[in-house]
Amino acid sequence: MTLILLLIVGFVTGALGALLGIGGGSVIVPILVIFFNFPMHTAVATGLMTIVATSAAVVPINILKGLVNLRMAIFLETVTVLAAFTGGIIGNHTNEHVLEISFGVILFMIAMLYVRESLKKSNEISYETSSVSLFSDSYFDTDTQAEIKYTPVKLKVAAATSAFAGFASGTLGIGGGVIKVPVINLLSRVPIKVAIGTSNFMIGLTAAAGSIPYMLYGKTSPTTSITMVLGVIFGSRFGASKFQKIKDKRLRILFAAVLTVIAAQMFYKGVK
Amino acid sequence: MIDRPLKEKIAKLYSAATKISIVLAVISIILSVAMQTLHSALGKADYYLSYTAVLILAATPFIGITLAVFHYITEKNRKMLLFSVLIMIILVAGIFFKI
Repeated sequence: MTLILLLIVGFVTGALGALLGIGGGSVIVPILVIFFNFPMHTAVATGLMTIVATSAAVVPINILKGLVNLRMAIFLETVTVLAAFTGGIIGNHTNEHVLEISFGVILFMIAMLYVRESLKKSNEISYETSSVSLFSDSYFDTDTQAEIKYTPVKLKVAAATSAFAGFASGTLGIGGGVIKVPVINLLSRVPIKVAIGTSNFMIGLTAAAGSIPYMLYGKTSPTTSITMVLGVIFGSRFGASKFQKIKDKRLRILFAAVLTVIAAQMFYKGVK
Repeated sequence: MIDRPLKEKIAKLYSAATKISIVLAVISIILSVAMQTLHSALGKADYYLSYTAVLILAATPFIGITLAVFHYITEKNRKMLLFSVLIMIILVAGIFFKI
């Protein structure tokens, strides 16, 4: 019965992760802790593995659609991977309750960021097209039936924020997509679909780096991980196939609602 | 879209890794269920299969990024290459010395 439940949870979070550009770890970790009574460290390790699976399942689809800016991803990941590895080491030595409260607080802050963006009268972001750099790219948007060109800006600030996301990923078992997507979209002025696709590519590497310390300390549960991974892989493919049909504003509202509920639950679990 | 050939290579790599992981995961789950119900003496076969699948998945993004780095070497983008090599060295050293 537990096996079937884990598969279902994996499928749902995989679909959600592909839709929102998050790895699903921010959903899986609290579910494993709250409903399956997993120790926080094992839940974090399992969360990281499912994030890698979400990324692996979605990358082939997104990358061929032109929704992954590979050069920008490599640039941002140079610091993010190191931060994730460090976060994984620190997370292993941190008290479970502290991790749970930190998880709740960080997720709530991110949800508020998305609520603020959703309440703005206009969600239109002007993309930088006048200049061309090493990181310039384009993709064919099926909604507008047009080739969208863009040049990412403020990459150094984005890299610093991405490093923070990597640290949070290694420590808390979240992919860091919850931080990377708004940063790439709002700060670097990259179209939301590319921001989600690039984030999905990056979180795989971030989570893989973050999971290494947990493997070293023997905190992983391979059988649980692989059961969830199976659900996540099929869920991600389902989510990715519906990817371009969802409007940007609805994405943000859905994202914020899910995160607020999870943040409240984890905070409550931490202080209880 | 720039770097189309590289992106196609990475897509193939990720697809292959995902397929192998799916097969290993299914076999592992079947073995796990069979061992519970039949009290089979297959040892820790399901555990090792799961672990192999997990390791394949974890290695995939690193191989993907290495592919990309080698691709960019041809464009003589040394900064990107040096950063990536540095990260690899630190990660391997971390595993080796069990930080």
